Amino acid sequence: MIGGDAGAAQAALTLAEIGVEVALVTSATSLGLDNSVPGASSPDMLRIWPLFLRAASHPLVTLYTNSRVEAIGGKPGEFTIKATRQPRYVRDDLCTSCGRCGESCSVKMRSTLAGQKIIHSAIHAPFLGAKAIPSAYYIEKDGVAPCRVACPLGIKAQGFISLLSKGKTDEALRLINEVAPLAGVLGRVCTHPCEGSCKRGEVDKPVFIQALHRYAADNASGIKYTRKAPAASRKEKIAIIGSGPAGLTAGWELARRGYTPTIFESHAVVGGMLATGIPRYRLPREVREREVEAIKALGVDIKSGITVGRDVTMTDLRDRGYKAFFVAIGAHQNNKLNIPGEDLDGVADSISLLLALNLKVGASVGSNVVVIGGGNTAVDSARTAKRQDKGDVRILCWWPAEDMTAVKEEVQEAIKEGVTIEYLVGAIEILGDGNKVTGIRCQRMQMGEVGKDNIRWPEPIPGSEFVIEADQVVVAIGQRPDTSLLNIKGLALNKDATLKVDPLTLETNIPGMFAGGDCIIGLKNVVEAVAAGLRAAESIDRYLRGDDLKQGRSLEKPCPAEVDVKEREFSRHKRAHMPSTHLSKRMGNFEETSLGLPGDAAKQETERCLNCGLCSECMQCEEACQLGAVFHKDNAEDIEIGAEAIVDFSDLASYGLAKPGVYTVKADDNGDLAGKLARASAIAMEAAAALKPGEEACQAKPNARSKSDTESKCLPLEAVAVGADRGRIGLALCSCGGSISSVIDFEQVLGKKELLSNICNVQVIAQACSTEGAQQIAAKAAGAKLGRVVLAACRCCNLDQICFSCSDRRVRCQHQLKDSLVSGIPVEFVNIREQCAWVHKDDPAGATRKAVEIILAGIARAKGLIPAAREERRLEKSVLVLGAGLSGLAAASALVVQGYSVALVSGPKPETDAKKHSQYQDRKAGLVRQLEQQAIRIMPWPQGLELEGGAGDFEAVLKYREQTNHIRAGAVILDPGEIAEETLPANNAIREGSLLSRILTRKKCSRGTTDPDSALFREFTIKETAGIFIVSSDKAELLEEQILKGSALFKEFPIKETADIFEGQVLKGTAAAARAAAYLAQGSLSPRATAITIDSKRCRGCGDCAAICPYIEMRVESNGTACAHVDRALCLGCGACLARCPTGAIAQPVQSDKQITSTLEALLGTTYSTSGVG
Amino acid sequence: MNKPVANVVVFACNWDGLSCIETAARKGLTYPASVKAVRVSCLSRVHSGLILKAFELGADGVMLLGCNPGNCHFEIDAGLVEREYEKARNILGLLGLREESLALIRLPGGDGAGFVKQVNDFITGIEHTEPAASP
Repeated sequence: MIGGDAGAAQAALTLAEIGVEVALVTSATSLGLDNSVPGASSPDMLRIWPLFLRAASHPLVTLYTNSRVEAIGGKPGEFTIKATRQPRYVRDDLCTSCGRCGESCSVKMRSTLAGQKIIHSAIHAPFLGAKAIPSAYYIEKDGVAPCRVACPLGIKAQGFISLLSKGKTDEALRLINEVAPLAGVLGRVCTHPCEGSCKRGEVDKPVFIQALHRYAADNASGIKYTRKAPAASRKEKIAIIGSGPAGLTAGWELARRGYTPTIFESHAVVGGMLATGIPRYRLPREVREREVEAIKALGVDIKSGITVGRDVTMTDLRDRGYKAFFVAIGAHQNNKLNIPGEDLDGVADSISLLLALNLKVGASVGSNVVVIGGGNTAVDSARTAKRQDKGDVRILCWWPAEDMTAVKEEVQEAIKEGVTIEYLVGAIEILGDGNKVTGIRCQRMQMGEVGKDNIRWPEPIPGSEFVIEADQVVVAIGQRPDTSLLNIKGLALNKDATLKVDPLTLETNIPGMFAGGDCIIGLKNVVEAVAAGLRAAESIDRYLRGDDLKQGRSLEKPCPAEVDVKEREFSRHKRAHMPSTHLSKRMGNFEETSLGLPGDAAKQETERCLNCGLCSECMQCEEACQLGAVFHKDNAEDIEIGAEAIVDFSDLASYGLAKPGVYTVKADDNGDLAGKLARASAIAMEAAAALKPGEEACQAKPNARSKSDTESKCLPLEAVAVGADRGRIGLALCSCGGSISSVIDFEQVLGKKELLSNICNVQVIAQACSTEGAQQIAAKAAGAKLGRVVLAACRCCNLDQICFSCSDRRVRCQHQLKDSLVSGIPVEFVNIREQCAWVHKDDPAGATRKAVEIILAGIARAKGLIPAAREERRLEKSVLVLGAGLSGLAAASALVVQGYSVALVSGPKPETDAKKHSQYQDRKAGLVRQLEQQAIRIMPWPQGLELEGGAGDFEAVLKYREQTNHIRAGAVILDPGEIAEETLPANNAIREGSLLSRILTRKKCSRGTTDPDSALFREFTIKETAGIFIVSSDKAELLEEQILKGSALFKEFPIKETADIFEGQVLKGTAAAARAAAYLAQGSLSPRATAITIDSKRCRGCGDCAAICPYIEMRVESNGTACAHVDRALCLGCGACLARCPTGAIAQPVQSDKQITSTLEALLGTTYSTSGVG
Repeated sequence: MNKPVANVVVFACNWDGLSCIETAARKGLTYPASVKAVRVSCLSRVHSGLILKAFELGADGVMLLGCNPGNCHFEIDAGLVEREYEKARNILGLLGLREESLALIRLPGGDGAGFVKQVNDFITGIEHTEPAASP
């Protein structure tokens, strides 16, 4: 069954009821009124909700949601359906839709449901709180957010931002630290490629991601790294050379994986460029030290002041048992200008200058400083020099302003601090007095043509030479690594002196030796270095385990989510401004200039995020779910289903998946639900005809689940529960994964004396609707020899009915308990979820008190439960069809095919074929022939018609002038043809007041109901049927009548449409046959738990009950008195008769006056006041 | 606020009535914990005796919550409920109790917000007309 609409559900249910195994496959997340989702909260959805629920929970139906059919192979009798199940990210067998995940979700997104805009969380119920099957939540993901794609580390920027928006700073830092360490460093000095691809930039300006990264690092309560393996669980020794960001990160990741790596650092300080290169006003020492300490604490051994190659050689290290190496020596060798004068006194390279000014006391610069370069090092050098507060600092940049590689914010700060920048200027010669620098001879540049390397290089402007005075020149035109000291034999290098590595694994040409960070080719910045550290750690781990270094790894980035910014929910605030120290306070010191966002500004900034990926993968929902139902790693899954027949409700043809032999139902019903259901039933019958399940179905057990019932059949339930004491009542409290217990204080509930004195044992379970939950309850019940169980959870009745309020979880709860419990232990249900915890969240004390009261009421009801002896009436496997129009004939023929014996009687007004359309006659003749082949002849309408016996086993008495026929029938199908059904009895031999007459005229006597389909919907909601199925006359017949009457109109009427009308009649007959077949396939009828009994001794024959109920009949007893009789198999248990009965002759055990009164006593036993506590 | 909140018994029919109470919960709405529902299969099951019993046992208010006329799933004549309701009101009057403490509310299926509004209005009505709860 492909499709998830009402039709598919109806067809699936019909087939399942007649014994066919059905796979119900829909691409939607839930079954719903139509295949294209919502409209779900419409009254129609509620009306046929029980149909959906019964279809989905039928033991022969397997439901595949989120599953798109990809291909259909095979042929009728042996189809194979290939489908892909899209990930739901929530396990629908575990989720109880308690909603705690939704509360924890920090994403706000916008959807349109039934024309209304709704703001909701990324994890939510299908149809956003309207009813759905399965009711399990699901997560909306829309690919990977562009910020995360841009980040070399793949940090979940959207995730930590959404966590910060909820004030969850610790969680935000933890999320960052799941991927990478050094949050305080990256939050300050990262080149933030994330912001470059931030979609908010299309609205105004990107989200200030870096500032928020820093906010998390600075404001969390501490760095708490998580491990992937226990500390020191891996014994292999690893040497990391260099303690810069690459080395530190590799060490961190390896330590998390259980290794104890050693970092060798040649400087006395740890941090590499973080300590020696990046000035302290950008990255304060305390921040760096805090991060380093946290990494050390994780189990990374850092030996500083040791230069590998000088103090200890690589060979030494190998000899000492080091198995893998990570070379992360950075690039500390300055590139030279290669112009005259570079060796003059006063010419410094930026690396030495920054090192000196950062770390050495008493270091100094000149009063007229010129920095040559355009990168971050140049700007850092200039700003550091400026802080000496000696005089002019200027930068000579070869490039125009827009091509300068330094971070823009840094350049702006430098200019603010008084650094001047000369763009498009090249140095030709450094001038000096033979000893000391005096100035620089420069020339102006202009942008040339695009060269062979696809880059526009600047070219000198002839004759533009000029001289700048300077007493100090800093050369900052890039760095390269210095591998000479390492002295590793055979190590392959690139032309620019960087180490040659495999870009994916970072392995050098020497096995077991890896390299990364500034010492390899590529961008030289902190975030790339950290990324290299992570990649090297992965490689080293694989290398040491002997795994393939490359398998499953790729440098390819995931595709970023495509985002339509107009569709997103976000605040209108402008990008936050980073507060900084006043310029006047910056000179002469190295205090940090950027101060970090204050809390309110950070919060406001978080709200600017567009939540590009929808779900931010902050993982709060996984933590919130106590049942382990949230499952972010869910993947698309291929499913293959074998089927003998396929019925398609989803218009497969439009997806190019048309296949001969597939039954197809087109959605052309114009919202006519009854028509849709009729079509679905008819097609189910057609499919069933091909499958012929009839034979086995009639013998098969009606319900595969009720295996335990078969033994107890016809025995009074009381007798079954051996040893159980009726008075022994056990209480089970369901915490519903915390959603109930977070409001209702279970401890307090269980401490109540009045409660404890009424029960003999108590248990708290996490999830009553799971198999485990049911088994726990059953085990306790068996162990404690309980006679009754009261379950306080979300289910609210112990009746086998499915009402509008029921849910898949509640049905499951009932089923699981039925399967697990020793049969015969009645369970009384108390709803402490929807009727208590969920609606009194604002008043936990009140909710707790109310919970005690409603549980006490449940206990009181449980005490009064009287399990009735089971009554069963076998359903006669035969059908009487009254009326031999197209509908009647079609019904008869469909049932004959299913192996039912059919008696066919012509309609009350014989079909006058001569007047009919020729197409009608052809169709009819065909059906009659078909039936004649099965030896079925049409009997005439009798002079007297009486249905004797009870529902399910009628004995039809057909009185003719010459004879009387007795026909036994389990079900009756009536096709009244052109006669309105309610007028049938009076003139057509059906005794008024008989069951058939009452059912036919019911609509007339009940007030208010105008819906012609109400009987049909009642059949779905409360399974109300007396086994008498009426093919109601509708518009089609009326139209036909018109066509036949007005001959002029008849001629003009298009042939195709008249054919449609006749086919419609066939279809309705087949649909009635489907309902009759499904009804008879139950095998037997039992009264509902709510069915009434009438005590004939107390009945005084007033007839008040019979006046309101079609199933109560007044009969004259042999002694001449009148007495009410009820067919208990039909009683719906509404209780109206009970409320009317003046003598108390009518009894209804489950809601007797006594039961209701004891409920009231328990509910009102304590006085509620908002002040009292416990 | 030390004033006791009125104890309200809601006789809710199993169909549209109960679905309103359920929907209120699913939509995250709240109402006072002093409101307690008693599920019955149909409001026609509730006769005036049961209504008066609730008052006798200490209910400050009784609300009958059921389907709109014509929506009854048992197709029971809506007049039956009305008659019992009127009967109980008259008796309340005879006993010197306020007739406002009994209400017959009919809502369409799934009207959670409607139920919460009705029950809150009902409580306000009771507390407004009741000068002080008898000690």
